[in-house]
Amino acid sequence: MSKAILKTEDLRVEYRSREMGQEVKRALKGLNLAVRPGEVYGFLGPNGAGKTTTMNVLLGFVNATGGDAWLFGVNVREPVARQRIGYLPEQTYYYKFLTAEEILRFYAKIFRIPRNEVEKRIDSVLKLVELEHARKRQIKTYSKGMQQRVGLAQALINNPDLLILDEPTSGLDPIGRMKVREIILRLKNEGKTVFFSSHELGEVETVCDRVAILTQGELKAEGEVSELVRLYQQPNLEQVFLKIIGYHESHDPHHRDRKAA
Amino acid sequence: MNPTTHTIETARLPELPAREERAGTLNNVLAIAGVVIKEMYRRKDFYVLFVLTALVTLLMGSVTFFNQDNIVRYLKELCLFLIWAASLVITITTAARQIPAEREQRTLFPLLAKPVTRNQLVLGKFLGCWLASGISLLLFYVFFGAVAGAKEHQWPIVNYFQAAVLHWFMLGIVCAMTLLGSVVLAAPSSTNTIVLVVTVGILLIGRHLNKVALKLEEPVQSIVYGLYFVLPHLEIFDVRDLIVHNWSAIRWDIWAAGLAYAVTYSAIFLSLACLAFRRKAIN
Amino acid sequence: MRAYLLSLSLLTLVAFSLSTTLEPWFQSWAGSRTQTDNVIQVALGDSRRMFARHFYAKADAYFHKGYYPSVYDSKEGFDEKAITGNEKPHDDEKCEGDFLGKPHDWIDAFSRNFFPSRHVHVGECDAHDHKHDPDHDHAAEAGMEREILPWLRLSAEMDPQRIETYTVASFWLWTKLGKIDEAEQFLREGLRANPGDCEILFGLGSIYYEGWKDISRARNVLELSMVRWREQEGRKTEPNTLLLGQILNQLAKLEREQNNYPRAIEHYTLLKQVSPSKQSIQEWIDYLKTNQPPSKVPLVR
Ligand SMILES: Nc1ncnc2c1ncn2[C@@H]1O[C@H](COP(=O)(O)OP(=O)(O)OP(=O)(O)O)[C@@H](O)[C@H]1O
Ligand SMILES: [Mg+2]
Repeated sequence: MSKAILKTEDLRVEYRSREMGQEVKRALKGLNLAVRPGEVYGFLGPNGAGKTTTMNVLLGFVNATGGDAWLFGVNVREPVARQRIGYLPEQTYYYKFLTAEEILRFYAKIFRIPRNEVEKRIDSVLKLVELEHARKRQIKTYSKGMQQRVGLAQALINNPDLLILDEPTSGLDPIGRMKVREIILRLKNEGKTVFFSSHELGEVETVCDRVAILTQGELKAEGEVSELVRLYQQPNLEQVFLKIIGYHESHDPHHRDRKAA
Repeated sequence: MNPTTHTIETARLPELPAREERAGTLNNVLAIAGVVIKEMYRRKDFYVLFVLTALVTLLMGSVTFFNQDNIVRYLKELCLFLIWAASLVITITTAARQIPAEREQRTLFPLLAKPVTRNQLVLGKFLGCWLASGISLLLFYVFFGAVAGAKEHQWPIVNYFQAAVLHWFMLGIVCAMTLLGSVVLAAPSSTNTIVLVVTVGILLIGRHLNKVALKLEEPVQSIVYGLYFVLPHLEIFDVRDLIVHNWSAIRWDIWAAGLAYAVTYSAIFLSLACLAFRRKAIN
Repeated sequence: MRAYLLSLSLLTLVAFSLSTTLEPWFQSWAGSRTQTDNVIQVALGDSRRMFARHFYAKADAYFHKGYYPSVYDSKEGFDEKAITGNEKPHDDEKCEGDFLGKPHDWIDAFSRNFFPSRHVHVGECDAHDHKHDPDHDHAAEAGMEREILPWLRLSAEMDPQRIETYTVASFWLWTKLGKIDEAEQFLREGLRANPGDCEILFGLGSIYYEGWKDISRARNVLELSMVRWREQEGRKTEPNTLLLGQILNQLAKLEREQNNYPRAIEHYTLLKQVSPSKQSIQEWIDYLKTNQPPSKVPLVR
């Protein structure tokens, strides 16, 4: 167990909000995950499965109702656990009045990257996400895809050992997606760990060492892609996924609801 | 398919740096403050207010009353009034939108995913707003000094300095109060309105709340009297009359005590804001 | 929303300043008897009277160098009338306590260090400051009465029917700043807004008499003001006898100086009926009756 770079044990999260009355929403129901250093780990699940919630716990935005989570063997409640990670949130609109360069400089300052290294790092991450041409423009003039790239750049600014990416390819064009896949593979070759969620099963299949499939806050399957394909006797990951979440094309649309009830 | 699987088992966990919290706090607070200041000077509001103030002051300055062209106090009064109004608007609107904007535009997530605590975030926002209001005040007071000096041919620098610094420290209290409001209340617009009303209310009748209390019925009387002792007396810092009428400077020990009073209240409001923000779920 | 509010209030200010700039020009404009309401009247309606009151109070506060009671303070012992020039100069001991009284608590005591809290009048030096730099203070304070004028001007702008504005402003212009011309102009402006007002006529007569030394005009105007007083005040249940006394006193003095003793005696006799100090007036009457004028000067009518 000491080998896991990211680990959750019996993680449970319940949302209780005023709008929902007294009803309790159980977003995670005892999740156990272990991501090993150096692997690319795909975190899959239909909408509302609890992927973002898991990441929110890992980053300390949401306190777990039960169970625990660790990064680098340090409990996520400690801010220092986040020193060596890079995080790309789901959808973020970065400080509109700053330029890409300034945003990266700001985050670099928070990571206390030495002055002489900052510009070098900024140059390299901007080159990586191909935003060099727009580096001196304010973010409010960026397109959605460009903002997504700024997000990726800020996640990489501290040269993290573990990347937590929430749907990194959403909003990107096909070339952009390909670039992200390339970046993930490159990071892997540098020995980094990548933990990311995605709905693009094709791309998951090509880059991931292992995947986990989550539905309604419960882990349904975990393992290497080839293993899962073999186990579930399906032609590809997409079919495995559909089978696990219990979707059958021939069935009526209310099937899942009845099953859930 | 996975040639690296075997090596994964043997790979070592990267070392985390040792904790250096104190130095890290200052570093983070300054970094966050820097963003606030950048934002202020890139937005147009501030320039609009400054130009309007200058325009109205100069326009009024060009009026002559009864062919007497060395009348200046009404102009000083007007200019200071505009400066006070503008500084309150700038400070409150800047402070009120900080944290809600971070939440709305979701920049809070990448920020808090970095080694930044929520307290550091609140402190950084406070420092940024306070410094930004200080920068704008400096500009306003330089303009004021130029206008008054040009008409009056005297430069009571000490008085201006005392007044401007008191004004700035008062804005510190307002800033902290606004941040607290922005954490507790949901919409920035309601924070704006409430803090503005409270601030102007204190400025107008804070000094007289004790006398007001005496005229009220009992349960209300105690409440108002309590408010008199609990609320920050912002009106103390309003020393416009001293500069308008060329009174002699405030005693320095008293002046320093005024600043200490402001620091105390700012600290109280900031602590409350930190506390409230720590309990807040942010997703 | 805030931007709207702000620009609106700033625009109002611009309107003020514009109208004050344009007003004199309007007045001097050939045949300017324009009945069009000015911008402020249109914009503010009747609330402009409130502003006028505020500006008048502001002038008074300026007269006291910012040391002025608010609506929450008891105004007892505060010489509100001093700005009109009617009041005797106050003696310092009496005013030490002033309207502030003793500090109620530490907040009150502390905050008094931050605002003017000594009773002085503009143009006078602060007695407490004499020690360090008396010469400088005196020089700086000379002619500072002018500082109260803009507020009176604004007050008149807001509410042209407010009589005291004209009389007070002309008093300061004339007695302290030596601007007889401007004082007369302003009173005339007041007279245009309030035709035949006895108080303004009295002020105007005083300026002709003591300022321009134009005796015949002074006599005419003062006598007219007395007639108007009868028409305006005489019918009231509580007429302003103080003003009548002032008019009569001025007239009596004028006639006495012109050696027109019988007329002077007439005025003094009337004055005796309304004045509280009947004794000294009777002395004047007795004196004028027993003494002959130095030489018979023909009456200039
Ligand atoms: N703040 C909240 N209050 C109440 N319920 C919430 C809150 N945030 C999330 N949920 C619920 O928790 C469940 C998991 O949500 P989560 O955002 O983790 O899903 P997800 O797997 O990221 O989905 P997606 O693929 O759409 O991003 C959902 O049912 C959602 O409605
Ligand atoms: Mg999600």
